[in-house]
Amino acid sequence: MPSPYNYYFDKGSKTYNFTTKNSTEYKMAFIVDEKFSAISGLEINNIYQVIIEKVSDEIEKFDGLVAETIKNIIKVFFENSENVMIYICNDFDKKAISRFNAFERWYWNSDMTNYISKIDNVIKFNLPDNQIQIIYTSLLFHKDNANKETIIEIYNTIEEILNNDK
Amino acid sequence: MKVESINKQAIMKSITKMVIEKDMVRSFIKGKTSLETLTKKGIKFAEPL
Repeated sequence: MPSPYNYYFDKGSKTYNFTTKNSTEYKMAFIVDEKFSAISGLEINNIYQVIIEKVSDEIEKFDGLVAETIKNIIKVFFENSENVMIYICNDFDKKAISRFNAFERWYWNSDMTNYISKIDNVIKFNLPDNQIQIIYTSLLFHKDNANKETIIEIYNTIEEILNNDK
Repeated sequence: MKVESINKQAIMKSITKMVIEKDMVRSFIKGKTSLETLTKKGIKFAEPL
């Protein structure tokens, strides 16, 4: 299998960057998420929301090495078993469900299923104009995470409240 | 460890904020928003690798 692209951490933008053979630049940011602790009343550290984005809006030809590179970064991220990752699918172009399904396939086709757990939460919001907004989210954590039972409990409780308390 | 009572409104607010933060970081990556703006909004970048 070809090697993934080399990436580096840019201290200026505070993102992990790599450039493809077609000169497309990708940036991957991890932002600290404290909302999990805020809504549960429990202090849980090392939770990050991940954002992966191309710098330009140009359409790039399919390049399998992009997914391999992202997978590589995620693998390194989980070398710390206390790290937790939240992934929210963009819906700016109404393709959130496609991203959600692609992420699902990517996860199940990887060897990370052996040591990384993924739980999904599809959240429906009632907007003020009575429209419904759907947000597709996934939470990934290491199977050795010391807080995994609490994390699962919080996530399940959130899902239960959102689905039952309409 | 038991999860304390979780308020539905608090969940909605938090999730909405997460989506907004994601959009702001996307905008930053595309050069449309400054890092200073994100910092002012309380967005903290990490180097977890």
